[in-house]
Amino acid sequence: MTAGPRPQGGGAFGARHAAEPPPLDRGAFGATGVSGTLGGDTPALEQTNPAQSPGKAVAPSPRWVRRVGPLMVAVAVAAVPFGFVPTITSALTRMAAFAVLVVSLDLLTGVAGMPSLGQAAPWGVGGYAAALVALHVSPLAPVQLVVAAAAGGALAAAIGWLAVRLRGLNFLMITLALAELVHALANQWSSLTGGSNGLVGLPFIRVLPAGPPLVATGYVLWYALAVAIVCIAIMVAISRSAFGRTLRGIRDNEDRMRALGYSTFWPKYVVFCIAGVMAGAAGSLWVAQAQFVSPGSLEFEISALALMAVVIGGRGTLYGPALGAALVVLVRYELSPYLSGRGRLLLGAVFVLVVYLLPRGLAGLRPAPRRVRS
Amino acid sequence: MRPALEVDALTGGYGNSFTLNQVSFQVAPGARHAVIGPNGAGKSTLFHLIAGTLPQRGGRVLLSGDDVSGRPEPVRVRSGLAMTTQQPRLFRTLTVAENVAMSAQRAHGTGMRMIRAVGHDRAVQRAALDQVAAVGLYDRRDDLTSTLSHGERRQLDLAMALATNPRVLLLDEPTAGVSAASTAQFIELVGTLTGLTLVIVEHDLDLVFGLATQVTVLHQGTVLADGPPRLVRARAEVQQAYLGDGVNESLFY
Repeated sequence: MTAGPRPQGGGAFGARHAAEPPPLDRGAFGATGVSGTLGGDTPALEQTNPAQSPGKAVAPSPRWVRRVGPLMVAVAVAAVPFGFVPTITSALTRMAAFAVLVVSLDLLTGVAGMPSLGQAAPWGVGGYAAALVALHVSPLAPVQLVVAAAAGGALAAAIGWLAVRLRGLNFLMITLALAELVHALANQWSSLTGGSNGLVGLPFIRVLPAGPPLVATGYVLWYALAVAIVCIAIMVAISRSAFGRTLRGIRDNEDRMRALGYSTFWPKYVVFCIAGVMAGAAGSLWVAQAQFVSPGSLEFEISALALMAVVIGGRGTLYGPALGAALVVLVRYELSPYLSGRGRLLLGAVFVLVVYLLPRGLAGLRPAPRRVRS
Repeated sequence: MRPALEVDALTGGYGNSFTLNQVSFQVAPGARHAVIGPNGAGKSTLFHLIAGTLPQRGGRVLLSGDDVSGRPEPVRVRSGLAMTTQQPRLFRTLTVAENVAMSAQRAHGTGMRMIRAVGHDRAVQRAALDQVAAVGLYDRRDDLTSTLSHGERRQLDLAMALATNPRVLLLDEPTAGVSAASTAQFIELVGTLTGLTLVIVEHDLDLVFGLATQVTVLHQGTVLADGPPRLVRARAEVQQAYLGDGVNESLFY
């Protein structure tokens, strides 16, 4: 088992196993190899500052580090298939997919101040939509992605119409309740969803109509990474826009926003739908890697893990929760098999440590931004 | 000319006991209209009923002849009504300039725009900084609102209200808790706000009678007197209600 990113080529581009078990509790690599990978990546990410507006706050790190840093991290992750076994490559794919989900939840929770415990619903529905397209319509990943994003957005549009009118704990509970309803539906509607067995045996994705199926995990990682970067970049841009400022205003003081003439329902509803679209897209990325989807994707645990990743990463910063997502996937899904099922225990311990040692999450490892001209 | 603001038999208040009962008055465009009255007369309730933040139980509120009764607060604000409150309501995690920009971007109709970063919207930035400068907070424009004094917070609250481009501005005790220098600055600012209709609740009667073109006196939720300051001041019943029986006439000069 390789312990560092050496360009020895080959490994990751070997064939994937179509009959792989579901992605939960899977993995066949040494724990040291994984922590080595993260140890290499994390400091580079901490120096970067993609979520902060350049005119508003200045990080102590030089401008070129902030500009080039995220690119270097992406290149480093993209280079992983050359040096690692497929399991690590697919673990990174899952991290990329989960990061999109978590950043969408951070847009909702951290930026707009609407803590949701139901973000698994658009994620799982996106996953099912992608799987159904893959089985019945097309192995083309972009088609699956668009349908999944639309499905996630449509579900969010329906749930949001009710939920967004509520605030705080009531909002939290109705998102949870409606997500559980979707979960129950996926279990019951066997003719469409395959019931509790889920949908299995999905074909390998293709990116181009004439192109070959992406049998190698490395190519799937590249595809997922590219989509994840685009999705997260869109959400960062939204957070920096006038609309993003509107959302922060609602988070800080919704009543004051109404007194400034904002009908706050619409910004809240729109961001809820955007988060749903992104979560749906993320679900399709996860399914593209796993080639499998089941009601497990709609479980409360996914929503809770995503919210946990937001808190671990540092709410409202977007890039912090992306790191938090990687950490949660690492502990919950990748390390868990080596801990005889005590992954949740470790995750709980990690959470408690982060909350006490890093009140502002992983993003708080950077020095606080200094206010300058706005 | 149609009144900029008309309150017609307005009734309502907290809970079931109506703090305000059948209150009617008109405010001409460009007027400086003061609402005075002893504590508990219903002045703040009146403002909240006009702004739409308390449930209205009867009567009408008209903005430039347009009945806005029953319309939610944001709609009234977009029709040109703004209000400052005694406790300034600010966004704590944002800077002074960003607080006002939050108001200005709504007035410019860009509050839902997702494409450009906020710093690139020059029109909103300029409008926000203009209002920040107008209330005298330009030097503090990049400070977080949590670092402001109470007086500065009131100034910022006023800048945010002005940035909504109101036609009618309700000021709830604008000089309470504000330093003498800031009060002088406020009076100077009010002088520059031509074309804007002001309704002011104020305890400082010197300020009221120096500034107001029209005065309404509220007492126990009803209108006791309404007219030009000179006439209102002379009314014996006002002096009685406001000051008790005739011993403190010096307050009215």
